[in-house]
Amino acid sequence: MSASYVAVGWNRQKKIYDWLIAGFCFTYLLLFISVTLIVNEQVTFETLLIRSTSTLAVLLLHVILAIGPLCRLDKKFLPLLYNRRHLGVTMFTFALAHGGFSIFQFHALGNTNPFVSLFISNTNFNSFAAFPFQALGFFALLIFFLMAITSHDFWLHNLSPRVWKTLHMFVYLAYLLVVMHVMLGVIQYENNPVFVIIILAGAVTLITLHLLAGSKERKLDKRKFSLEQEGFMYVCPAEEIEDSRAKIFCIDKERIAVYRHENKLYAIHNVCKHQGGPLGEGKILDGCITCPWHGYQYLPHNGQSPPPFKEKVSTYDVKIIDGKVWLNPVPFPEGTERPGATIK
Amino acid sequence: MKPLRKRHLQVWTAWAILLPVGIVLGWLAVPYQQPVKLLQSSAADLLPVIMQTKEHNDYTVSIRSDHKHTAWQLEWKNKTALTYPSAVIYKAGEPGNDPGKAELIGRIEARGDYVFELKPGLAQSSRLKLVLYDFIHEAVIDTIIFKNPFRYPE
Repeated sequence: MSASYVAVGWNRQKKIYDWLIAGFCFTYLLLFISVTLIVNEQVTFETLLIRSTSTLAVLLLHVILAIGPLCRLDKKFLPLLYNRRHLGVTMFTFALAHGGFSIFQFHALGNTNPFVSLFISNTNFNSFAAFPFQALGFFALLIFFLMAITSHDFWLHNLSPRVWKTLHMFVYLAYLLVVMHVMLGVIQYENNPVFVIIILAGAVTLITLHLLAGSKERKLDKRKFSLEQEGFMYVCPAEEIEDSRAKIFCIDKERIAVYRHENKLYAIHNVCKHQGGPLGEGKILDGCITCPWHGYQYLPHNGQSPPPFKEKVSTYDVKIIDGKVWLNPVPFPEGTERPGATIK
Repeated sequence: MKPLRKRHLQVWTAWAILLPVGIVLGWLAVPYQQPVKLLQSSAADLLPVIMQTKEHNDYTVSIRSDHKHTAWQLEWKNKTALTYPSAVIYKAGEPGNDPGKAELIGRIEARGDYVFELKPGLAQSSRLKLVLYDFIHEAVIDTIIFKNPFRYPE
């Protein structure tokens, strides 16, 4: 958790995750190539490479984009989120292979610079059917490249989580570019509607998941807290908060996690300093509030990461009156120790 | 981080409109007939008589016919892997090699053997000029001329 470069630490979970990714990719490529060779014996090796890597990259991109909303809808999917960046880099590798093979096959064998040829060989910008779709794929690949090279925590710390997250949100633009790259590219040479249906089904699934997850959070944020007493808001009965778990409350447009630990309640800012993970959706492990995304930890009573780490989040005052939890939404400076409220 | 979370929802609300519209428009734009038909003719069986053959370092091109000279084929055999991934063969119009005025015979790729049916009306021609055209780079790769290709050698 420091800003200096530290190589990726390979723990058991990361190794299992990566072996599963590798196994899936290998199986997919093997199946794709086998089925294509059976269906079309005349297919060339170059075409096989271009199509197998591209379809795999598109499939992985859909999985990556589905993980976020799935985790927000159901915590069971959180293990997928833990190393999503590995999946992202894998996807970029296959997209790069597709782009590289395509540029070589379609643009590298003439007299023109392949990258110049990519942009000047087709200039039908005013035609939908003949639109220069390859340029769309190139720009999507450029976004994936920027995301892949900044995927390490070193860049997350140096750019700041906010800038890093904003940069990585360009994946949505890249997804739009990829869909249009496919629709205006290979689909224009295919009369079989199955391919269009697959792309449409993928897009509809992602849209539905993201909108469902977004509306779920919106409901949480829209809850009104009307009972106020000396700056404290009534939020819920104390027994509603499970031991070692939290409930999240959005007051004055800020989310606060109220944790129960050793028969006391503590309130901290809900946003993890690492990647903005929802601390209130995690649990207490070894006496520390543990972010569900990547396991960053904070002490409940002061919002500080245990030494030697230096991350800090804001803390809040909480009190219990007649079994009811009252929360003061005014934050204390990050890392300020608070006594918590004892549950009688 | 709050504005970022809000932006997720805003982006996907916009995508909920843009993506289906883009996909449907892309689908509607698919030409009913493909501009360039892929690969071999469906009549894959080779006709028995070779009328003429032209040799090139990278490929061999032959005009084939049946014994009664009622059906004709163009046979294209790649000897090596071509340096252009995909190209089309046109029967050139008389004025020149302008593909816009030419008649499409078929498309070849870097490897493989190809057979294309030729229209019977061609048998009246005393000359068959074929143009191998790289449509990606918009360049003529080769011009192959057959003289009296439909007349059986004496």
